[in-house]
Amino acid sequence: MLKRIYRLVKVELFKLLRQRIFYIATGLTVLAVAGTILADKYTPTDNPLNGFTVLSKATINGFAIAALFILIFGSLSLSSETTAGVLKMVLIAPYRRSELFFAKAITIKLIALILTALIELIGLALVWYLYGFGDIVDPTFKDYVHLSGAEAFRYTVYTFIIVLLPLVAIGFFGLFLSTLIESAGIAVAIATLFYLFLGYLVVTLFSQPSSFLFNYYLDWYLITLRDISTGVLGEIWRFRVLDEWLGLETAKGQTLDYAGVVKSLLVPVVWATLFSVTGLVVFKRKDVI
Amino acid sequence: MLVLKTENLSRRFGKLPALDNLSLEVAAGDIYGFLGLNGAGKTTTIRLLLGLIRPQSGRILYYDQPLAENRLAIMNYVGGLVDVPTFYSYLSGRDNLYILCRMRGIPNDKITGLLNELLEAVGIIKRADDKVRTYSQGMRQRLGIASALIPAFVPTAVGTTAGKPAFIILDEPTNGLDPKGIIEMRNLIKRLNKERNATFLISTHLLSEAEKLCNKVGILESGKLVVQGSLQEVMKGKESLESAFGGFTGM
Repeated sequence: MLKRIYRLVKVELFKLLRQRIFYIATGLTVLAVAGTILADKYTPTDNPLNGFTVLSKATINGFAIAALFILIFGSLSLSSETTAGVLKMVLIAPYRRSELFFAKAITIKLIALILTALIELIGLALVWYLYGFGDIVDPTFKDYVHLSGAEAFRYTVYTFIIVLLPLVAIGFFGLFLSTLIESAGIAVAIATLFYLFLGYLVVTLFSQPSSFLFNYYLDWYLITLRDISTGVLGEIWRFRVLDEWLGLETAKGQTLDYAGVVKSLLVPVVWATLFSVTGLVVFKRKDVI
Repeated sequence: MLVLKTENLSRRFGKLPALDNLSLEVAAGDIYGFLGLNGAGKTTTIRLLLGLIRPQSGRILYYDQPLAENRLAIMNYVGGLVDVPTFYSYLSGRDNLYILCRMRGIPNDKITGLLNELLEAVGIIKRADDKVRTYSQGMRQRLGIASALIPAFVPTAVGTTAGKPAFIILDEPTNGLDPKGIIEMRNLIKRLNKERNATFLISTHLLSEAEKLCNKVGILESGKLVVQGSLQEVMKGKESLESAFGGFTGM
């Protein structure tokens, strides 16, 4: 089965690399990262920025664009083939629907990995060249080092790895939508609406009663759902690490203790699993007309 | 020996019955003409035979193996064209077929030769490297037929068809083809049937074409199979398949 899925993933990548949207996505993502860093560098300011601060801003912008495209790739993955009628041709081949679904899911993970690597490599290279990675010091007492450059760099690399989880969950949310909605246009429109504001609306409607009726833990899940569905990753722990270092207030309940970190890792995995399992069930039962 | 057998196959869409207790029999080496008016249930049957939709009752058997439990093994030697052929429009005709060959596990070193043979056979080799979005309807139809014929072109030594001759299901294969194309496809089907023992099930509106091509026919009327048998049996006492068809369908 693994060999067959591997073969399907290679076919998916063959198609992906021949689509213009993939190059548009990577280009815009790179532009968001490089543009932020260059704009910060050449904007006159009295307080020169630390390299880690610039990197944090640039990667947040890069991930916001990447998340939107991953969501679009996810929401197009099956719906575009249904709309074009190609899915019929694909399903005639000797594969289980679950194998086709897993190949799509793995491809989304690979897209997330490619975009994350691009953001990180370009961000790190540009910031290193333009700013360097010095110690994080107190803005008032310059001699007080909050965190050494080496330590901050190490944490930054860790957090770059961690951000993959919510990005994959975002892609799986799109994949789930694409199993439900047959029209590619409508699937992308709904995914984009979630990205823009629908995710906030859903969570706003449900988070208050849920935190009152259940407990704060469910609220945490809903906040992450909003982050996943909207692609705004700022509240996910990865970005709060730098906020904490810089003395900013961490989001409600998002702590850097062991339990907080575990939850930060666990919650996107739970959502990704939920979206992929539900999507698979829908896809397996679907009539392809 | 029967390649395909359906037992009391039924399918509804909501309250609308599309197929009612359909029992088809296609023997090895047949070119089976599946005839019926628009909306008779031909495409629904083909979707069921290819596992794109599920029956509400009844069974589909290929070489006595139920499709529901053996789909993977069966689809290795089954090829199909359903309704209007559709492809990845941003890829060339060759790349579309390449993907399908890779999905069938045909090794890379065998694919180039196979694709050239296939593209030559359906008459689009000169435009094979152009994007599908630039193809005419007739060319897309030819490419669709090529995609369905892949199992018939795979050399037995490659082993992807599990040693079984191909079973090809074509839904209205002559749609969009000019008269020259229709003749070419008829000759191609006859050649594959003779040289490679491929079995065909072909749904068509063109009764004269079915008469020239098929050795066996089945006529579907409002989801029910009204007659099935050799061309001679079905045409018994009639001068043409068209008049026999009119008699069975009240046309």
